Amino acid sequence: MTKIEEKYMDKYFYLFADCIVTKGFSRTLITDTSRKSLYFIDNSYYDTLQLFREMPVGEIILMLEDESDVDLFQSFLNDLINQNLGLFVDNISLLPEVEKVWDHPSTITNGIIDIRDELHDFDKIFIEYDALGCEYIEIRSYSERSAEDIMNIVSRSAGRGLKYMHFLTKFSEEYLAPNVLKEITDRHTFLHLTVFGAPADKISALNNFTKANQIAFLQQDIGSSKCCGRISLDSFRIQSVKGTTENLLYNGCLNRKISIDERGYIKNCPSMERSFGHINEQSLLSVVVNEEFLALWGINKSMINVCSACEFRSVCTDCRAFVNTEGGVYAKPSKCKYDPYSGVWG
Amino acid sequence: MVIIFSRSDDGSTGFVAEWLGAFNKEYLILNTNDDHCKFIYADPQNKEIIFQKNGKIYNLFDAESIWIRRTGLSSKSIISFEDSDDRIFFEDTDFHKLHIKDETDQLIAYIHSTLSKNFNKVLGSYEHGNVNKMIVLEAAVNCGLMVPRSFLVTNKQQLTDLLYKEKNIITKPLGQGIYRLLEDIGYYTYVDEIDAENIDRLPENFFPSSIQGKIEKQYELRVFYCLGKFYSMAIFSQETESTATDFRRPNFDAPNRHVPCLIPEDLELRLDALMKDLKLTTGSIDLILDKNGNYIFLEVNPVGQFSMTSYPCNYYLEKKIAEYL
Amino acid sequence: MGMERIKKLKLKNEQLKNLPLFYNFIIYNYMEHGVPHFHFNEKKQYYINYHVPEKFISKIINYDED
Repeated sequence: MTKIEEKYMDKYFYLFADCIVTKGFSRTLITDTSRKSLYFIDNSYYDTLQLFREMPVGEIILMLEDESDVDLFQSFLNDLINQNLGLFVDNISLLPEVEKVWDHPSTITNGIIDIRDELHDFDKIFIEYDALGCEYIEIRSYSERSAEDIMNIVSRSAGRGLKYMHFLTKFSEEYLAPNVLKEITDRHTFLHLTVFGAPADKISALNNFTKANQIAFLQQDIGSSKCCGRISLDSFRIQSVKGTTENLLYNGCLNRKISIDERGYIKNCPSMERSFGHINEQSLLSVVVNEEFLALWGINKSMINVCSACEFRSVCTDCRAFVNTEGGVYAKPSKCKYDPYSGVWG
Repeated sequence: MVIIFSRSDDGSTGFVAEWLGAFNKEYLILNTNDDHCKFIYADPQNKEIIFQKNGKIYNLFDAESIWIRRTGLSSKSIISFEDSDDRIFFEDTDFHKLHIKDETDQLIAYIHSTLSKNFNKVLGSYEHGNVNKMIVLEAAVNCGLMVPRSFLVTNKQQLTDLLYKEKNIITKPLGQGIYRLLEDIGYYTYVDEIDAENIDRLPENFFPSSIQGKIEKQYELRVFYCLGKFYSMAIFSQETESTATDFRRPNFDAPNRHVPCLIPEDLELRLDALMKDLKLTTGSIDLILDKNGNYIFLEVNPVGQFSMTSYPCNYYLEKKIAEYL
Repeated sequence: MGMERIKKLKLKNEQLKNLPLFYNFIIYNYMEHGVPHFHFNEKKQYYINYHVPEKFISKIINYDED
């Protein structure tokens, strides 16, 4: 183990501001938002990370009593340096942490629209989403849709402010013909198509063809909005500083989201019980000013049982629709199998 | 109404406009490179400068604020004359085209000048939008800023002498570098060190070239200056060959880190003096913090891309600008 | 536009002797051709650039690697 050189003793160790630290019950997580990596450190070092901002490295060492503590500290510091998570600077007051604020010009940034057999009035829907400044929409169809139907729906959102649409739809034999779906994504380049319930023996061939065309085939079958709310280590996506800040300050899934369930009811998300009216009779705008609707946006991880002690709260986007029976609206998501108290995924 | 002079490919303009929309502020964007806005009429006595866009008529004097991000006006904004006109004027068929170009420039300069004088809220400048790098470096020295040692050379012998004296040297354009996107290929200049290894393959004689002493850096800074305030970002690049000299060249294995930072007050005072001297109300300033703790001024770009500072540092500059306008 | 492999541009000596030194330091790359991922929105007066969002809009897809 290399000892920290004498020349660094009066310097501060600066942990890069784009590395977000979250202390959990059993360990601490450093989320590197630039390199999209996760680093776990022992909780005993969480306080050390705070001390780095207050005093030079040499002073921290002086505070340690045992030789073994000094060795551990030097080893820890070496690890951080070797992982490129920080470096020595003269004046740490010139390198502040990122301010924990988040805002967005759009009232609504994203939404989910579910459909089954009946189609909603998509003209009305897209006009209203657009008026709220919506950037991203996910449409989930639980029944088979013809390519013509898909093209029809997607075309109604073209030319507006939408930056991305994800259309999930049930597999149909029609999609086996080579260019049937490609025609749609070629025409509407903001569209990404995912076809679920595809036959296992055909999947790799289909995905080889469509990879570059924003089309993906999945074997997984999806029956309804009840299938949503999955939380697992593989499903976490590390966002930028901006996105991670939103995730910590607000509800990672529901913030600035408005949705329409398969029967046309306006909700925070289709999997929730509470509805705020029907899209045929009401406008999204009228719901967006409803205080009960808005309340869910502000439920962040620090307010949720168990999750407040979980180090993954920086990257987990939560789920208020499927929650454990005890705890009401502040209960842990029922589909999360992680136990922050033991540090084990069940 | 907010008037924005820009170019259609300017990302920051769109981001600011998103916030203007959120604040329900009406705005009109005039782009240098498109013909959506057309000049119609002017009556200075009645404070009228009339443009038409998408069938609607606007009097620019009706605005409350202006943001001069780019020129925003060009021959495309003026009613175009027939290009196929092949009448001969003064023996030279191109004479009238050059003459019209000059008339267009006169009109554009007049529009910008009269608008800038008539509004309290003006961000950016048409007149002072072009800065000469060498002139700026001298102005910076006059304002008490440290700058790299600079030289202009025309042959390899001078270069070799400099390499010997300064030890580490880099070459840069006097004006703009190359950032050219053609059909299939994109070309870009990058700042590289001239050393014993690559000096041999350079030509014996060449066009006057700017050589600067290379600065050993702790980190680079990009400081966005706007309305008297400084918003600073530190850029830490991987200490590898490819990015150590110029942070604009990407290293895909280890992307640069863009993090918020502060600058000392006395540096702010000097930079503020420089910006006032250059008559700039906004701009992006590039600096290096060297190994000795000195801030070395490199250049100022009146039209800097501040979104690359705003987003990683969570400064919400686009929102602040929209609030001001 | 994809960032493909970056190459150094090598100009001929006859060209270089009339050019400033920085012409010896030009890189280039071939850009991916594809359909445009943006459109100009007339009403908003700026380009809408398409991009995949940072986070998933819903958590219905199973991303678990087995």
